[in-house]
Amino acid sequence: MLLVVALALLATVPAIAASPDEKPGVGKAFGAGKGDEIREKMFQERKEMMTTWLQNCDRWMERLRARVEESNIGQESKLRIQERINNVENRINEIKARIGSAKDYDELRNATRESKEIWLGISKEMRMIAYENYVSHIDNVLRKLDEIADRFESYGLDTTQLRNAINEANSTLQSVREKMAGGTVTPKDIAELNKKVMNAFNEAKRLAREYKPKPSDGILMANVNGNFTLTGNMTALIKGNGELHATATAKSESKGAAERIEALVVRGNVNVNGNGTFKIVAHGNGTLTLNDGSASYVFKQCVNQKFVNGTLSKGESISFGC
Amino acid sequence: MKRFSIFLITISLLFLGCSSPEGGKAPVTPATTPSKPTPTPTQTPAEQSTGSDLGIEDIQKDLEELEKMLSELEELENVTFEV
Repeated sequence: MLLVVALALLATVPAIAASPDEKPGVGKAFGAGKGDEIREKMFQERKEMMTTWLQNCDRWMERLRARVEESNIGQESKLRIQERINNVENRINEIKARIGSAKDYDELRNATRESKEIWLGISKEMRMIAYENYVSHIDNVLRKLDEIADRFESYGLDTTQLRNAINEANSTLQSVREKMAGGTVTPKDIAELNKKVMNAFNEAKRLAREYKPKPSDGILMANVNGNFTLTGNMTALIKGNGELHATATAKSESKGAAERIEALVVRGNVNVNGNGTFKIVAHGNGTLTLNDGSASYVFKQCVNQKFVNGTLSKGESISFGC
Repeated sequence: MKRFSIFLITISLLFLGCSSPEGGKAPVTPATTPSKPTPTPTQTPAEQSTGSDLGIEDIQKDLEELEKMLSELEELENVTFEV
C-alpha cells in the first residue's frame, strides 16, 4: 500500500514542481497576466490621481489670480505677480503634458520623475506668490480695522485693546515683509501674523456688539485740509496735524511731539475750530463748515440711512443728525 | 368592612384627583378682564446696530478665504510623485 502511495507521489511531484522553463506556456502566461493587470490598474489609479491633483493646482492658481486682481496693490505690482503666476501655470502645463501623454506604467513613472523636478522648482514660487497676496490683503484688512477703530472711538467706545492688537499685527506684518524681501519667510511667520490679525479682528467684533448709535444720530466721516469749524451735540474724534481749539462738555486729547494735539475726542455740546490736515469722525447732531481749503466726506443724515459721499468747498457746510 | 370600602374609595378618588393629567379638565380660574396687550417694541432698522456698515462681515470673509487658500496650498504641496 505504502509503495503504491510513494509511486503515486513520485508521479505527481515533478508535474507540480516543474520549473517555468520546463513548462513555459502555462506558468509564465499566468504570472505575467496577473502582473500586467496589477500594473495597469496602478497606472490608471495613479494617472487619475495626478490628473485630479493637476486640476486642483489649476483651480488654485486661478483663484490666486483673481485674488491678486481684486487686491488694491498697485497696477505695476499686480502685473508683476500675474506674470509670475503665468510662469508657474506654464510649468504646471508642462507637468500636465507629461502625465497626460504617459500611456503605460513605465511612461507614467518617468513622467512623474520629471514632474517632481519641475514641481520642486515651482512650489516655492507658488508659496511666495501666495504669501505676497496674503500680505497685501492683510495690509488692507488692518487699514479697515483701523478705520473701524476710529468709528468706535468717535462713538465713545474704549478702543485701547483694539488699537494695541492692530499695532501688534502691524509690527508682525512689517517683520514678515522684511523676511519676504530676504527670502527667509516661513509658514510659522505667516501663522504668527494670522494669529495677530485674528486677535485684532475678534476685538473689533467684540466692540461691534457694543456699537449701537441712536436712531437720531447722524454719522460724519470727513478728511479736511484747511480751516474748519465743527459744532453741535455729538461725540467726535478729530485726528491729524495742525492747530485745534475746542470747547466741549467733555474732551480728551493725546499730544504728540511739540505738544501738538494729534487726536482729540469731544463729547456733548461741541465747538471745535481746526486748521491743518485732519480726519473727523462724528456721531450725533451737528454741522461741519469748511472755512478754507478742501474737504471730502462720507455721511449719513440718520443712522438708518445709507452713506453718501461728497466734497466741500470754501464756505460750504454739511449738517448731520435727525 | 363597609367603612373600610368607603375609606378605600375616598382614598382612590383623592389619589386620582391629585394625579389627573394636565390635559384633563382645566382648573377653573377666576374670570379676568382681558388686559390691554403690552406693546412689544418693534425693532426698526435704526435701532439695530449699524455693525453691517462697518464691513466686519467682509473682513471675516476675506480672512477666511486667505486662510483657506494657504491650507489648500499645503494640501497641494503634499503630493507624492512616487509611482
